[in-house]
Amino acid sequence: MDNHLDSCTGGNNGIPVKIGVFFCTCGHMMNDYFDVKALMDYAAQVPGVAFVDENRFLCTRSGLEWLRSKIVRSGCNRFVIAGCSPHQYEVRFMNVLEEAGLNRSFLTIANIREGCAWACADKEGCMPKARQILSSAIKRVALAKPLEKVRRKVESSALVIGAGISGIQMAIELHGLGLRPILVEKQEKVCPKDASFMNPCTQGAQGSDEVFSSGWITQKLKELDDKKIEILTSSQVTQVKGGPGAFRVTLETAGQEKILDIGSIVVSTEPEKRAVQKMTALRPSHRIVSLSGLSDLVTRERRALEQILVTADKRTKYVCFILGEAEGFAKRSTVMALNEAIALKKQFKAEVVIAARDIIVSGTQIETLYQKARQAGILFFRSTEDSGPTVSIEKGVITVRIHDPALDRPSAKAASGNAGVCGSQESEGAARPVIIHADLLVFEDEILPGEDTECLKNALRVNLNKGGFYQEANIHLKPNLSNKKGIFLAGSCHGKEETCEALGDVRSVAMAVYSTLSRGYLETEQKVVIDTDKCALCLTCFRSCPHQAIEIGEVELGQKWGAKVIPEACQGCGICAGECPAKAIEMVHYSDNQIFSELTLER
Amino acid sequence: MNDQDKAIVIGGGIAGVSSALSLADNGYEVYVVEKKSSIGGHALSFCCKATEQCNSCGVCLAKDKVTRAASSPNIHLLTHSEVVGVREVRLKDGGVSFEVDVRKQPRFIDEDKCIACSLCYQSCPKPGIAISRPYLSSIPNVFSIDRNHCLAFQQETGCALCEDNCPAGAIFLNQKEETTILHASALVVATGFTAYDARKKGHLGYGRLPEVITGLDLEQRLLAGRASAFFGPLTREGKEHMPPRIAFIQCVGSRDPHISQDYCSRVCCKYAVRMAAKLKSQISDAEVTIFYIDLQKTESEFLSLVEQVRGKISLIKGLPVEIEKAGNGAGVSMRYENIDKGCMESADFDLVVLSVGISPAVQNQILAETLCLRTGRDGFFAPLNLLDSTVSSRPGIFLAGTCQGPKSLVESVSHGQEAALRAVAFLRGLKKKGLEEVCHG
Amino acid sequence: MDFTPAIVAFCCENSAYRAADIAGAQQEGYPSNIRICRLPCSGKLEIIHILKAFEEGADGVFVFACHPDSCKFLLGNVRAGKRIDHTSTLLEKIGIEKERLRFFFLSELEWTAFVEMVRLGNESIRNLGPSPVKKEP
Repeated sequence: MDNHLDSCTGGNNGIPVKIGVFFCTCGHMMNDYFDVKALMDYAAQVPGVAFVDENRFLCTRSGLEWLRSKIVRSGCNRFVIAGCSPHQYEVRFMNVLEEAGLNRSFLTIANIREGCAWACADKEGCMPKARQILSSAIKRVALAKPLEKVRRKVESSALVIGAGISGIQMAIELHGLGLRPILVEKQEKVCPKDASFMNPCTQGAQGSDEVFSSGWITQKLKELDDKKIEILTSSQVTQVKGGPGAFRVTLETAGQEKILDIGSIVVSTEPEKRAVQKMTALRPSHRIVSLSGLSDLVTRERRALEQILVTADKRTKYVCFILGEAEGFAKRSTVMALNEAIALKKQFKAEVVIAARDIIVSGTQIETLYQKARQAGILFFRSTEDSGPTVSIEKGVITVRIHDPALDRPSAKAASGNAGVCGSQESEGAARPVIIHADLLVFEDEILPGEDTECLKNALRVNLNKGGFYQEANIHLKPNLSNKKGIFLAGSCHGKEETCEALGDVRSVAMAVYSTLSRGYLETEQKVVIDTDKCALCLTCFRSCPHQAIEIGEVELGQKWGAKVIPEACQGCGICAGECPAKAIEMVHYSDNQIFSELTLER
Repeated sequence: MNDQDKAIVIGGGIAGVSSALSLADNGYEVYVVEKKSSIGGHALSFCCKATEQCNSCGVCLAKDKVTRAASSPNIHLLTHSEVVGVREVRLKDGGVSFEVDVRKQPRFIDEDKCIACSLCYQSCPKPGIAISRPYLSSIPNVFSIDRNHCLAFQQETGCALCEDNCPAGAIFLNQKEETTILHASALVVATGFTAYDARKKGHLGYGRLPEVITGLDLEQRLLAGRASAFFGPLTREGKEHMPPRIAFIQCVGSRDPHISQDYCSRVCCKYAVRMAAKLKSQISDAEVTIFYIDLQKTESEFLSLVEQVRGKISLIKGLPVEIEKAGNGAGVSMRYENIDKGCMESADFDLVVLSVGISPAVQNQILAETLCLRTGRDGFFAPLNLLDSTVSSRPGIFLAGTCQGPKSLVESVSHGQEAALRAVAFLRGLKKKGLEEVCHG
Repeated sequence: MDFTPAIVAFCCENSAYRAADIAGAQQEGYPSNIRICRLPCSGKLEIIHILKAFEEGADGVFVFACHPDSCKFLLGNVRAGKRIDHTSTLLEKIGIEKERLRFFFLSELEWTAFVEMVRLGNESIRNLGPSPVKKEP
């Protein structure tokens, strides 16, 4: 046996390590696989082991009671439990240790059930493997260092960045939970820069036209006012330091610097819109608009719209929507287009045509809206995957050609000839497109991340996804945390498309924020320690930490600079420890020596 | 503990669990009432859909949540239990609370004593039928005995092998159904969905042709093993070792006014494409075709997956008219409309997967009556306002997950949190009011 | 040739360790000469750990990480991949076949794949014969 005991007494303040080993036989089941008695004898002779015992049901209430009493009475300071996988009851056993006044890291589970008894293809390999698992667990626990707990008071304030629809709702929800939201807005005034941005989704769903119109915003703004929610306008976040519960945020407010202590940060900025490529390729015309341009026309410049769609000649006017040209946010465009189409059809008696590849209906009651649109007499043409609609302008006449394969069917030809309502039918050529002379041509918007996303991303040190939107942490922690703990994402800044969806997202984020801050303190384990003497300030850990949990700062007052771990932000992956070239970083529960102790192979 | 610090979650599916966890994390005492023998619901029967990369199906998120719920000290799991009655009671401080009757069917195994050693299972003459657990390390990780199959309830002599073999003395064959009363000021309804019964679509051949399975069946098969194991040696056109031909049929029980399920189930396009990608990655020469009406291209992860499978999987716009046994005996033959070509076509397949949609749970109506809640035209619980879909028509009762309408796994988790938020706000409000009244008094 | 290789499998506790547990619980036997070492994330795995395993007499080292994009810590598997590439070159330099070091992607639920990978990996190491480290006097 090697000298694992000598190397670790130092870590135990000179107190000799005494290891207690408990076997759980899982009923008597374990005896079917190997001789538990022999294993116990084997454990007893490993240096450092002072106590060995067995129980049939360690995981039951009485078993845990038994364990507690044995831990206290045995006088041991490290424990190994040989039984089922750590994923079963490790936490439960660790809690028992803690209740007995010992550090939870002084326990190692020897996984001899799932990892050995049940897993061995060959019966004779079972016993040696169990012995090996046991001996490395004993060595490992002898090397264990305590996991220190850090308790930090947290601020009850939450910074909500971006006073769009999501931001406003977020501030109100957080206020309702007794937290102190601070709303930060880049613009001079809190007025969602485009009230229609997420607008019409629920209009159709509710069958009324003003459920989600400016009325909602006015009401919410009043609510902000009544609740005296702090709002910082003309402000931008320039720097964020610290971790969850205790962020130090530097803001630039109207040209002045302001520093705030913040518990949690919520990003709820709104994306921007751009005309799709197909639209910009055309000569600009007042008859060619984007969806957002159309809703501007409807709400603000009605007269201009009337000029296009109401003329003296009493001719039927044609409005054509072309969808499916932009990547992403298809649900939003579909809903907006359906709503506007219904409105135009009703108000101007115009003939409305929607050309799309796929109708996106996977949202709150969009199918109902789609059916409503069909009942209203809106015509839908399905373009094919490879040949989308083409647009040409000649002498001011906008001509749209749509290749709808359904209309090429012999049986359908007569019908499509009938559909003269939507233009004439070209008689020659095999693939005969539907031709529409559009009086108003509407394209969807391309939705892009806000222009200051890059800037804010650098200040917050969070990740963006391939499309440039904010990236959620990952599927395990989804749906709404960024890669840095304590910074949350809400609404369209991470791809939520409809209003219902975005508002729902806001509420689930609000719950997550509340869970972080409600107790008034955060208790975390210091999973990683940095040896400041070894730290050469090379910044490798700072750059490699996926959760931005490492800060560079003074480690000794006025003396030395080095890397520091923010325990609240650390998630315990050990990447920094793996990367550190000076080996200055150690994971407490997975130190190098502990890992080495598991590698010794017995022959 | 005060009633205003307690909540009851009806349904231990992923939305309920997520809701319970959020509440428990904030110090509320939560009872999760689950009808089945373990929590986790549908989500835990789904397979991981990673190919060479993660395709963000969220199943591991569900596992994570369920495991966390099991170890939370504030969550009490009541399995085999159903809510049978709810009464509102006035509290001394003026607040209102719910008194809930929970009927617990006997499990015949004591949850506190069972150590899941599976000796009962091994000794049972009808293992897996009379004694079973839904899957390994189910939560709670306890077996249960089905009285309809157990010999102890059928023969006069009475088999008691399990009782004799249980090392923990956890088996009680004389357990009776019991009703307990719980008190809490907030209820979260998270009873989930029922998958559409594909048998109702006779022309698709489900239940009639062994080659036709549902998406849920495929999930379970993929969870249990690799795709190559599904197919025996395939011989056709006189050649051996032919690659399998697999079809996915979308919108089975969705977007269909004839069965008054004229809504989109929101999950099928995603799970079909993910599973198609998974099958393709496991059997590289498989010919996979997806038949659809409109491909729901939303969410950036899904868009990139569609890009990734483009060219490898055929996507055909159009649905089958009928599926019949193939004439030459191998596989099934399908006649379908190809909308892009504007004609009828037919093709043979070795496996047809029906992407069944999300239907309202069968017990919704009964529960709605018990709880005095409103359901919508579509059979799901109706929220007061679509902008806040967790608030039900009765104060103090909140909706979470697919009991309110179709949602994906990740959306259900999120929705569960939303419901928890509403419940917390409601409970805080009650408490504040209570305090004020005490002060005034 | 009757040779049982000694194999160390480094498993991320979020995926492969759980997969191994399920494989065990399913009583799906895999060779008993696989020694599983639990890591918080494959990103924790250092080059020295792999080399030490060979030094201690392992004939093969398997590293199991989560699928790309599904690492709980975002980039742990990517970091592990880079280190393993580097370690392979180191191994070649010191005369250990780089095939003795294998890198797999796995998720928690793919326990069948785990068993398959371990079995096949074990076979391939068996074919390689004992590690050259052990041959030294």
